[in-house]
Amino acid sequence: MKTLILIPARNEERAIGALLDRLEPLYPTTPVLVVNDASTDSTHKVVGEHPRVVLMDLPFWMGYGGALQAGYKFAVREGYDAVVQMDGDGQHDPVSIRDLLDALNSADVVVGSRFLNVEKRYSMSHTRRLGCHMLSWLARVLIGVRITDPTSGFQALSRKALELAVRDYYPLDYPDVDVLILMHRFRLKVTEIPVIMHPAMEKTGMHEGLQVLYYGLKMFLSTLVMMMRKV
Amino acid sequence: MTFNQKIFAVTMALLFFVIVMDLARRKKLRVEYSVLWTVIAALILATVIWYDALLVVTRLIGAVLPTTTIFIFGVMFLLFLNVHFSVKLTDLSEQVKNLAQELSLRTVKRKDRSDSDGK
Repeated sequence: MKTLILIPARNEERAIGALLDRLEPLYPTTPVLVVNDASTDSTHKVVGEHPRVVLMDLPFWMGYGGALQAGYKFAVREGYDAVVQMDGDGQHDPVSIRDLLDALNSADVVVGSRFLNVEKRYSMSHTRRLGCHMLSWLARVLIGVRITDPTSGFQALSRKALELAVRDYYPLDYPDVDVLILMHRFRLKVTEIPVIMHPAMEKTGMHEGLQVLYYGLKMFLSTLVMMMRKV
Repeated sequence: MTFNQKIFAVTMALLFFVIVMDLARRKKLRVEYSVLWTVIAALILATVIWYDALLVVTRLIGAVLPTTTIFIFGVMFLLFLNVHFSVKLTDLSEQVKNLAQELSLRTVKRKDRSDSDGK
């Protein structure tokens, strides 16, 4: 299976170097693509110091979803069978990539969950945890699959899922449970496995404060729209 | 409708028409939009010339004053126009996104090729 490791990165100079260094010995033959979402720090330079890593620079800040989709397009055009996507902030442990790929043998989308892991409990704010629970409930009601961590950016996608994600349906900001529902509606199999996640090094959470409200409303509308769309 | 009101409305409609045509002439406004705005100017003129029609519409929608009718339709028009612009904006941002991704994809490939050429 021709696999690509995809890392969308926006201002990750502090963490991405260490992440790439860890990936190298663990997966020496798997190509790595970093999509640099118009970072204003030295992300471009740090990634450039890793000759094995393919670097794609976006001309302007597109958002997490836009950067991911650019990576998917690369994978589809270069004929990859699978993509493992992970954040560049060091939150996602590369050790779990192998588990995600194994699970991909019997599914099209594998979500890496921080909650299924019983050994290491992941700490997060109450509002964020509540939001995660609600989205998780939504996923269970709508697609009948238990997804405990739909906001996870640590995922593996099959070729079929990639071909769907490069279409215009894909959201630009934060793809979430709405994408999983979309995948499910196109009869792709969505599943979840436990992964190791560390608290992010230094980042203002995207689910904090007023943003939670906006995010919740957006996700609700997005899900509704996805459900109404003709397949 | 008093004479003053008529003069004012006609002046506004004509001024509006002249501005729109001038913008289209200077390529600041696409002709497809100038059509829309010309129709608006014509509608303003029509209500001046054919005031009774406004009264009929006012009765039809249950409003008391003709001014209410004008305001309601004005606001509704602006609302729909804004939705239309949002649609256009969505189209445009999607196109810009696709263009930018395409550009980045092509740049990456070129780098790949020059790497293999060097070997």
